[in-house]
Amino acid sequence: MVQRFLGELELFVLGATARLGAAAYGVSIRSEIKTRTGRDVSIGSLYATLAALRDKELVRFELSEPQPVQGGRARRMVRLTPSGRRTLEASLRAIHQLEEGFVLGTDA
Amino acid sequence: MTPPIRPPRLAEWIIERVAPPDDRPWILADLAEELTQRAATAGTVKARRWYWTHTARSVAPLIARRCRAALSVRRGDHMWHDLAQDIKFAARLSARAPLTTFVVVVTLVLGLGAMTSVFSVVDAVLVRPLPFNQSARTVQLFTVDHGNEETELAYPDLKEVGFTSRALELLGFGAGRQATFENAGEAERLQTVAIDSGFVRVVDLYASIGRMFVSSAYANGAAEEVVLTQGFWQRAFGGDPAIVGKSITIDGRPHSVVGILAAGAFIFPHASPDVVLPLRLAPGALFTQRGVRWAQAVARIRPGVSLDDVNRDLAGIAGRLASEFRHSNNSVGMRAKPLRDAVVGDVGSMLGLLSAAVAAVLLIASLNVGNLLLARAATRSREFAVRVAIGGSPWRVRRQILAEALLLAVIGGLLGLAIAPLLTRTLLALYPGDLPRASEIHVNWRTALGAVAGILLTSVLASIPAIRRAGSVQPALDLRSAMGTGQMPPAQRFGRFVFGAQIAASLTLIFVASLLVRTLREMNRIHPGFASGGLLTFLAAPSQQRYPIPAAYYERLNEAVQRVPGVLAVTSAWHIPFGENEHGDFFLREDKANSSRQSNVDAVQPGFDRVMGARVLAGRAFVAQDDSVSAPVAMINKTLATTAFAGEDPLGKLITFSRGQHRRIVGVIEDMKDGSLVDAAPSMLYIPVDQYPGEYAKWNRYVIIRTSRDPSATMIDVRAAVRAVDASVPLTDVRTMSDRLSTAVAAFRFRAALLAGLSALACLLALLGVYGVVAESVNRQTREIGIRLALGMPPGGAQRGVLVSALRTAGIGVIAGLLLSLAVASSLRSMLYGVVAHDAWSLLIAVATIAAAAMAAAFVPARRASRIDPIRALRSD
Repeated sequence: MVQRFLGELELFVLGATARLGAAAYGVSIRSEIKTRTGRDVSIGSLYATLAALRDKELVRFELSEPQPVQGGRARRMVRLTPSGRRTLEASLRAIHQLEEGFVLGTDA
Repeated sequence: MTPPIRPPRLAEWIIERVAPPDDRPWILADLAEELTQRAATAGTVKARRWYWTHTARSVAPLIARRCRAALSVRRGDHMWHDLAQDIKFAARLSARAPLTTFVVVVTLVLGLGAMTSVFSVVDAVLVRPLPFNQSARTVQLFTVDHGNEETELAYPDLKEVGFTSRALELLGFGAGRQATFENAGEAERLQTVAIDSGFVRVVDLYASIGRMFVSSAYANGAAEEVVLTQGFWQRAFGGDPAIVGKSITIDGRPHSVVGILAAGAFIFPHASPDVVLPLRLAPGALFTQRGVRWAQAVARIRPGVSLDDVNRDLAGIAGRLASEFRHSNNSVGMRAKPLRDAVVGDVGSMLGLLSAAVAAVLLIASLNVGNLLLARAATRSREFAVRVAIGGSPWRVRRQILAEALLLAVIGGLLGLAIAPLLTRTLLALYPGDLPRASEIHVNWRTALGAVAGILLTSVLASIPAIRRAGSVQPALDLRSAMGTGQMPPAQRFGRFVFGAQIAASLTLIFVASLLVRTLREMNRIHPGFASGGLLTFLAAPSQQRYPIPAAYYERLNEAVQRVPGVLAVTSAWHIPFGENEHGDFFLREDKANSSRQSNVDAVQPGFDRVMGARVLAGRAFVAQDDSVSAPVAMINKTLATTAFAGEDPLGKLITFSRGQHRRIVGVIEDMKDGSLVDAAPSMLYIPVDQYPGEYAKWNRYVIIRTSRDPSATMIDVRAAVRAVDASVPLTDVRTMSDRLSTAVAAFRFRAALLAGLSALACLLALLGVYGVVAESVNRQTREIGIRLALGMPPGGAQRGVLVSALRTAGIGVIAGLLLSLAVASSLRSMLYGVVAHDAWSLLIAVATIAAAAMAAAFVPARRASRIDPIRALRSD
């Protein structure tokens, strides 16, 4: 398959998921993106992006055990698939390569 | 741990609507979780506000996501692959149930074919503008007489309009008549239309070869010119362009052919004449008498002037004429009507009825298609459940049903389009007489497109219940039991709806059909005022060259025909009831001032009343002694006696004709219907044909033959006798009187037959529909019925149960149908005769027919219900 790069929001969601590891689910991903990039992603956009990533088989969903409190609910956790990890790495690498020898704000 | 806060209900509801079902619980849970967190840090009010803004921001991306998922845009080429698969699968399914597929396709083919042809007719006759420039501004002018009846215009009145009207910019007139065309010793009667130069400009006539008339051709005494129509050119001259410039003989005089009329030219007042002649102004009554109304006038309205302005203008002119020419124009008005309405006449209401009937049949058909698709979806609910359970998207399942519906529609549509031209031609062939603008009727891309759009829409709509059924698959439930215990409310509800709606629609159609059939029966019972059986009639047209005084010819003809075996009596007249050659004139009562009156006039031979079988009510009929040297006499019919001589005895009264001729009324004869069986007989004045001098004596006459045998069997012998007198005289309009009467009710018969046919089709489709619905419900209840039978219910009970339930649904349909029928009935009044619109008998017939049909359709599955074997029913899933 041809290597595909990610859209901005997809990159953010995938990145946040990678950072959060086992703790990645809707609320935590949103707050991670907010903390790291300052962007307040709406929950609708987040779920739309997650569904798209799932269709591309870059993430998969897993149900957690219910939270150990009274009335605690099960969460739908988000996990990177191997191909998700590869795509994320490729995208990040591409950005780093673009960055090399490039000073923002000054002409060459 | 802070206690959870209840999220705003409305916001929650919105998210529930827009979120994809898979994500719905997780989104709501995330929102709730964050709401609680925020409430703990920022307070409840701010938290709730956050919830709202977040909901608002989420709506758009969620909807976008659902749309993308539905269209599978993300999956790109998958979509086409899936579609191909859907269609292949649909084709396989259809092939596996050939009978139902066949029924559906045939239904759709007939529906689409019927719809396309009716659309084509409606489009050509009612929708499209007349085919010439500025046709929207073109009107026809009428004289309106005492009875508010529209007739033609008198030439002097027409001239007055041309001189003084400020609302009209172009005025033209014409008249249709018959002429004899002689070619290589053979005589043929032609339909001609004579027009003036204004007419050519108003309706924008032009020649495709050669030219239209030069202006001098309209002058009396100039070289005579003729323009051939395409049809006559092809028929008589094989479409040879060399005929232009040559001379042909019409009415014994040479006419030079100057042009061939362009194909598709709009001509008028006769819809399909053979030749067009210039209307030449000649001295004589036609151009000088205000009472002689014969001109069909067309006019173009000035730009920016409304029809109302035109009518006000005409009313002013008519008013001036009425005060100036009291005895001819007293209380005579004038009126303009858009030419298209005038040409189309009252065909509009008929086409409306036809469209509605076809739409009703199509509705019934599409309900059947819908029900079939739904039944298939219901039996496949298990398959759908499996597909969804193993991860198939519900959208795929829905799309698959849609593909099935569309496949059927495409097959039905293509075949329907293929037969549409044939159906259109059949419809036109069935239509009695001339449908206005018939030559313009054909299936074109517009009507075909309209019909295709209709059929696609119908199939998509028809598949909605099935799609909804498939969309509401609940794997857990449907897998456990696809049939038997589980009730299927949507399917059942739709089935009931189909059942009821079909009953209602068919009932209405049957009601309308029976109204029309009863109308036809009533019309056939009308006594026309004379004995119509055993009469053979034709128009003989001796050439004026050979017979300067045609009376001699008719004398010889009478004698020759009289000798034919089976002929009882022969006579002749200008005009016969339901024939051509009408003539109108006006007269004055000499004993009364201002008594001008318009009437139809017929010149008849003595014996006319006896041969026709019409009773003389008072005075005497004409005798052989009423000839050109005896005192001029007249007979009037009952209508004229009561209108012109109300309460007085008309016998012996003197009248004066338009040309100053005095006549004494000697008899009153029974009214004879003319032109229409429904309308009252026109007022009629009879004059002995031998007492009509001058140019009128040269008019062609109808020969009327009373026979003792079947008149059509006598026809061959009569023709031989006529030929023996003079083979060069053409006979036209050769028909029995019964045939003429039957033509007069032909429009009614056409309507009745068409509606009867359509309602039979509707009834048949409804029968299929009802059968399908009831059979389906019996299938579904197999297990239930099995249990009840096992518990001791008698088999008859099962059957009764099914029938009672069917009867209940049918009852609702019947009530709806009755209401619909009563609503429709009032719009039918103009098509009925002798039957009231809310005719109880027709309603009863409709209810009885449809109830019997429904019961018959329900009976077969009901019987099956009584034969269910409890053991088998319980063992099967």
